[in-house]
Amino acid sequence: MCVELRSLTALSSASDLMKNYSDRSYVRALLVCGAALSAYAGSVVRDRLGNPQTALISNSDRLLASRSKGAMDLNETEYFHELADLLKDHYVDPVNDETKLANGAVRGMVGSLGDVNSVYMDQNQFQTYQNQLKGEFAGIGVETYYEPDKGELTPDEKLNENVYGFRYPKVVIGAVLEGSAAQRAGLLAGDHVVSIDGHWIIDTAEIRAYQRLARKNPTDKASLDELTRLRKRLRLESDDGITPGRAVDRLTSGTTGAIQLVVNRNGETKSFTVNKADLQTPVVDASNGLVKHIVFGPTTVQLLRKAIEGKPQVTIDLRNNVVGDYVEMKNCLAVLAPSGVYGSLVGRGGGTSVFDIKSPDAHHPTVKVIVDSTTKGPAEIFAKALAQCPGNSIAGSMPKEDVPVVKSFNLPQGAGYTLATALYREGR
Amino acid sequence: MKTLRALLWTFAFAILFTAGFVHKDFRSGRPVSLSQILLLAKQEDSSATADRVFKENYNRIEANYYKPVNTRDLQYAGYQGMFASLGDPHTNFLPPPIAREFDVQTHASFVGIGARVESNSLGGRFVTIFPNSPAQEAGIIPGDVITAVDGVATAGKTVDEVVDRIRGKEGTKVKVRILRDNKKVINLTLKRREIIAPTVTDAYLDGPQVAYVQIATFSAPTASQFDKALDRVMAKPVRGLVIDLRGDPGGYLETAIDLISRFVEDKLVLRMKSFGGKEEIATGYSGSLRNIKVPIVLLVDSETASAAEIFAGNLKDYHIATLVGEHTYGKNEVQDVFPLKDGSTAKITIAKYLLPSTPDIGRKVDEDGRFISGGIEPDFKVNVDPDLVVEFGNPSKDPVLQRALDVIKSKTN
Repeated sequence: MCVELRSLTALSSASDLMKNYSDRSYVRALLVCGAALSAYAGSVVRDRLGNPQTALISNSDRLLASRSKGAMDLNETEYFHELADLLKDHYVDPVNDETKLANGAVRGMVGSLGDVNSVYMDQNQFQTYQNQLKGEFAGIGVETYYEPDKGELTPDEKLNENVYGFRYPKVVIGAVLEGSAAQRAGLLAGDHVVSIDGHWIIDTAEIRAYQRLARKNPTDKASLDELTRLRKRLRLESDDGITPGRAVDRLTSGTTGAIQLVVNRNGETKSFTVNKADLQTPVVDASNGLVKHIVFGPTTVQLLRKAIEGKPQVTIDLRNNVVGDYVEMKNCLAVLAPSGVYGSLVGRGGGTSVFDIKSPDAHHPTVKVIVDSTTKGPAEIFAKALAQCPGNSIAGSMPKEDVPVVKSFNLPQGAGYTLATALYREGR
Repeated sequence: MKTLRALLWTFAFAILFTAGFVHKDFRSGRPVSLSQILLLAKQEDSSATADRVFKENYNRIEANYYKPVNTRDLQYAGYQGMFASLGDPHTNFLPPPIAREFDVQTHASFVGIGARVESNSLGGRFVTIFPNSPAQEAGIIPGDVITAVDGVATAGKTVDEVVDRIRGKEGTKVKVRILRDNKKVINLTLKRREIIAPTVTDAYLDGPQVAYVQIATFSAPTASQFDKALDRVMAKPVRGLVIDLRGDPGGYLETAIDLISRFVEDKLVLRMKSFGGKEEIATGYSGSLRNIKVPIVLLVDSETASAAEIFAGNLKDYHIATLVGEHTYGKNEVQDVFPLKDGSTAKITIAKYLLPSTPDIGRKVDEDGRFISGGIEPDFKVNVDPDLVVEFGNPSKDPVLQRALDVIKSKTN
């Protein structure tokens, strides 16, 4: 029954979510999410069960939508302008800030990509991100990343992706910072966040399970009981739901108070109470040729150059390393590696270009890098590239997969976003 | 009277929309050419910046994202985000597929075979079959897959193409080949006809001798359906009238005024404040009063919204009815709908309204989207276990209705 709810029923609740949850992205996902979540509102369920008329009208005949299809070729920029004027002329409150509209549009576009690495950030979120690149952390002292919900859709579900394809990524603790409250509380890299302060991050695999069962229109008692169980669980979670973006906000911002955190660690649920605090970390933590913590940010390249100056050999520990800027990472790579090609960049449709470094330096140290599964993003590319220099060595292992190349861009009013522009593939 | 007429004209275009989880909106059906508006508008400097930001980032995403991008979808996602940035959940840009769905859902009547389909690799899969529709009479059941229309195979066609083929004039016939359970092929010929969705249902509750009328939406045919329901159900001896507005997302303001005028005459229905602070009022009319002498109870919940809320609020403010249930949704806005030539639709909040004496019912939520305040508080609050399977209209399985019956009993004793 609930499966019949369409994206339309989601419209308002979805924008409710967009507004209230100030999520980093997933606008498209949220639109769909509304459809998915609305199905679990208890009283809607009551309507559907007890009220065939309501169901009938809200599922009116799609077969005969009688709209005259005027063909108007969209000119993207003009259309934006025209819509802005329409809002200015009719919206109940004055619309003075058109830049806000443009930022909103970017948010919508980035969100529509449904990519865990392409993320819109409002002013506060972008500030948090930039602070992290300078080694200034807040919240509980962790770095996080999004893990996509990779659940497969059946061919029929794929055709109706707006109904069945809703996915939330999982929020994963990527790194626990040295000296942080998170470290003292016992959080570990790899912990999957289940809930924060009683707010659940919906597991979208559960929504699919529910939809699949409901779609079969089952009549046997076992299936109906299972449907009721899934529906109740999803209702409880969505009543107190939180988007992944806002969950990350809670983990990484604020310097006072504490948060209640429930994580999933290898299938086991664990609860923590963790204080929030400021945490200033050096972006290059170097002594005696060992670089322990490196954050690829705007000041990192100078500090790194200084740290390795005159040293024939350095060890770089890249474990617990998730946050970083791709361009700055490449600058740092040029300090450690001679000019050359260190991999390829795979773009749209499989087209490749070279990943090359132009080093300004004549001499480069021999590098030993230490990695593990907590070496992510720019650090992962950094390690894979360095490992290709003759004489260098790598300790620990990383997944063989291609690594997304993620660049960040500024928007007006302090907002920004990241965009995955290619996949880095090792090998020359 | 002159004022009233002017107002009614205004309201012919000002339509109420609802929100919440199940919502249906109604459109004015007045296509607007955006380029006409553009001709009248002046280009301003601030908008030039916004244009540039939009264009730059659109181009960047379109050109640099590492996977193929559907440019049309990207633009539409942008417009959706643009509308969402106003922070008003009821102001939305609807891309063509959603606009089409919206359009269909807003009409309580349409010509069709009375079914709803979704995409399928073979053409389309029936999801819902309407009662008393050609589709139901032909024996189509949910899950059946369309493989051909009028002898033309539909495999690989989009659901819209399939829909276009099935569409047609009232009284004409369409041949549909369906596949059932992946094995059985069935050929059917169906006659297209107009299907008017019932928006009002009624029942006579024998034991307590109470009339029960349920209004699902405030659509165009609702007022006459309501009159017929009352005629039927009030013909018996009744000690009270229960009007069930639970889950009713509203609809046309005119329909709300129609129904209110069954209970009070010539009273203020609402005050509306639009862009620039312009105020207007809407008033009921005389001549349609139903002379109901028994206690009236309205059942409301958090999905009672928009026109249904106005109806409930007026009957409460004029002391016509007692409200039982949960607080209503809290929608104090009016939207207008602008169908655009490319098939998309802009839905924009154009005004806010106040009920005759209830203070502003505007819904407030916290930063996590949870309800803080708003809506109309019922006179008698009933909290229902959200996982309880309620049978609307069956007092033994409907705690809110049971409470309403108790209220009627206490008033008639």
